[in-house]
Amino acid sequence: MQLPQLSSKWQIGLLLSAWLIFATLLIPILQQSLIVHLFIAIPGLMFLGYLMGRTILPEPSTIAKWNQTGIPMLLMASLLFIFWMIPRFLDSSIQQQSFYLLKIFSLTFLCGLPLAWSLKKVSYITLNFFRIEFIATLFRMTWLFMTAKERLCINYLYSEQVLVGKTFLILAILFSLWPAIRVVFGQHKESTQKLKQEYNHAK
Amino acid sequence: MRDLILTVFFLCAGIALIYLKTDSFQAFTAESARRYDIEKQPIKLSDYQLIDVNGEQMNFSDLQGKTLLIDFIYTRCPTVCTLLGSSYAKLQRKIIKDNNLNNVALISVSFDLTYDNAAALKAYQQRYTQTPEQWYMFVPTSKQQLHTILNEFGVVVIDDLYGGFIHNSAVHITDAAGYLVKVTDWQNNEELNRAITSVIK
Repeated sequence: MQLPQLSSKWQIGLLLSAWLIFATLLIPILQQSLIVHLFIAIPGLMFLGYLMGRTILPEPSTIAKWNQTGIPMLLMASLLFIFWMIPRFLDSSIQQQSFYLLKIFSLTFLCGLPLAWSLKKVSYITLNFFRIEFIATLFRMTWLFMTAKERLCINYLYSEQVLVGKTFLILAILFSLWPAIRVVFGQHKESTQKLKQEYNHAK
Repeated sequence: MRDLILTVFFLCAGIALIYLKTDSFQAFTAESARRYDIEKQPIKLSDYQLIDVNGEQMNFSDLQGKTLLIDFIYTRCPTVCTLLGSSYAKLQRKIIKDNNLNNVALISVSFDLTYDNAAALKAYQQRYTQTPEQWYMFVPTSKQQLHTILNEFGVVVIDDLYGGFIHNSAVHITDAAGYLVKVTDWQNNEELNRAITSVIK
């Protein structure tokens, strides 16, 4: 992805203030609805962290030494993402200030940011392993939200929970279809090249 | 090598974090967490100020010495509370008949301060039963009292978008010393009976 070129001061100021406004002013509004909380607030926090990782906060060399393959940081980001998908902690982040702060910091700086550092580095096979796991998690969430007979979050309505389940299903299907779409529309050349490179490298 | 060490570390730390924060993989929702926490560590309840069906003010501590089955309602409720009401009426008949349950009382607390007063509570109760014996209905005296009650019980009340409310409905059992010791489903009779017997003992 090509990012617009701005002077670094501007970038730092813009991104940090965007994060501050989003995390402190918008999140309390966005999390009033479960569907917005899950599909806009949480990905939004992660995306801002990702943008910071691509621009103003490159990976420090000490971390890079421990994250040569990109796997450790990608794993940390994935586990934190799973943590915030547990209904109990969504409720906690609404009811308890400490969990709220934990959410906005961890999703941006321990999830989105390391993703930006790691995604450039991970091998094509690892990346796809995580992709498949991500899609599987979307299906797991679909199953959880669509089959639960009771409310999973005490701060949200049951009707919205079912809607969230359906949204997870649509996302899961779209993400599963994405590779197929890429293959059909000619992006496969790039993928096979990458695979060949890795194969040769492994040999 | 470093990568491997860090990967293993994150994997263990992640699993440990989720294990610790979900009470050993037992409570993945706030409601199950609430029940788990209360059973592990009963909560000493404050002395709330309440208004009964006759419009008289009383204190929660006046009921100490009894085993209380407390539920939360609002009298305009068209769904759950209606079921809860008839379920409580059934329970009331049972505890009146059963001599072992003489010291058990049913409590319904309304959280709808705008609409519910002594008269509304009385009408609600009369919909389900002819006698108020061993079944007390209350509304908190103030918003602040209500807030304290809901907070201590861990009950969250939200708007249902149709002018009513949705809340985590359950039966809360307190022991004779005024501790909240158990939260259980009211739909499951067996579980409820088991819970009552365990608290009485």
